[in-house]
Amino acid sequence: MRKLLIFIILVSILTVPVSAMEFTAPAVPDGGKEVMPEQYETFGEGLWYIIRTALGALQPSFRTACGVCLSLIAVTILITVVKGLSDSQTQVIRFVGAIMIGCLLLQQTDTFFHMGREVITQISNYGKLLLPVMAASLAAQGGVSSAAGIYGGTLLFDTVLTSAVTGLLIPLVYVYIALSIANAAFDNEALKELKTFVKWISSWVLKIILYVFTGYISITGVVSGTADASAIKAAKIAISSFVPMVGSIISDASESILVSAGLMKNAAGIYGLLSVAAVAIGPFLKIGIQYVLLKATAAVSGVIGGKEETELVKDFSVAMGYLLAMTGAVCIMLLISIVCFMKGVA
Amino acid sequence: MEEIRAYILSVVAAAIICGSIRMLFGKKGGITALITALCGIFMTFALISPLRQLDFSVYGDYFSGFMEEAQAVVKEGEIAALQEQRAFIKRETETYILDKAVSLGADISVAVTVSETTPPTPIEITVKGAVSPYVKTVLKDYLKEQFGIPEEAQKWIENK
Repeated sequence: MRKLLIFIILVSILTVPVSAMEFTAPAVPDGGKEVMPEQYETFGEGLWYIIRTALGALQPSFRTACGVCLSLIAVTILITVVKGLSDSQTQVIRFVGAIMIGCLLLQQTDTFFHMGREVITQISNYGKLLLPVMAASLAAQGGVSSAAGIYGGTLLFDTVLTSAVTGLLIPLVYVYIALSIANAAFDNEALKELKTFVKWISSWVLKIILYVFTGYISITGVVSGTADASAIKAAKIAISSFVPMVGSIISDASESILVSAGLMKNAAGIYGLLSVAAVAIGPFLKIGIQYVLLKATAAVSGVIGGKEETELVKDFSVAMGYLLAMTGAVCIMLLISIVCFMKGVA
Repeated sequence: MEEIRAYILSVVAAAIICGSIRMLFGKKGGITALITALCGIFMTFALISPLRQLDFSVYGDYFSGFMEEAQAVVKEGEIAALQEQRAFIKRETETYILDKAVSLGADISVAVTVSETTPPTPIEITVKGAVSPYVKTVLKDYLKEQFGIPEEAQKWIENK
């Protein structure tokens, strides 16, 4: 009986055609393992699971952010009261107020920036593993020009964006925070102008990279996709010139590869999309909550506190906003590329 | 990116230095006017001098490296697809020929060689097994007409 069972298993293995072509997505990075679903029927189901799990783990961060914001409001009230009681020492009070608010927020901000930097690095590294799989599977489907164009472009823009974020924008945001604290302490026009300049540079660099990337991907998708579709049509016409039996077999082979490469590509793409979401969603929500709460705190400070304190809290919320934008930009870039690969040839 | 960061930070540092110096000397007076002029020259120098050393030709090589990597990955995908296609065509061709042989009552084994071209086509066949002259003739014609394999490319071996 045992020998018969082994024989059946061996025969079954021999009858299954061995495929040399295999395109599988790399495993989800460590940052996303906790929220990544083990099984999912559809993309929507997997995404919903990720969102639900990430939201469930948000409570501690929300409490911490609320605690910081309440402390900020308390400091703002204290500064306003002390200013009201003492008319002569306004400069000293302003200086001390700026230092207090800076001390309250700097540690938190630094933690978030480390978190953001780690997410950006993880997503960028994951993209470098996933995109070759997507490109090879699209090329196997006949989308040679599209695959090269999308992969080359994404690799270039991802490298530029990641280098810009980690090497330029994050340090600039720290400079922005330092200038904000100094401006809140001393109220100097030069510092204000510098702050505006640094803010403009940070925003402009991010926008330019994303605009150019979006334009490149859109144009490449159309131009290369049309070229690939024409090449595939030409190949089909060429097949019809073969003797009937050979032509039929070649046609079946092409269809089979198209379908299997497409299935593998889409499965890898869906897994890749979910992996990116799994890695990014937790930190994104935490930074987002901090950003929203700081905005609310600035609004409350505007009612009860002085102009300098309100401005400083707003500046910290702007810094959080930039971090959110940088993290989002890196994620969006990879997500757009994955979707372009999945869309395939026109 | 390191160069861009160093440039921006040097501009910011120069602005902070100029602002601090102007704060020390106050807003009015002859010396203030001189300080303002010197600060202006210093800021202009800080802004312009690194830009004179920019060499855009370096970026051409930087960009082309990415496209070369993309081409290499795409080539791998094409090779995998071609190998899969060759294996499929070989398998199907052998199946068709064996089915034909069975319908003629012949017991043979076949090994088809597929070309390296795109698309791949069957170019050679080795048939092993004892067959009657009639079956041999029918199969030879079948291979020539249906698969385009000429007689010169057909190898017949009596022993299986």
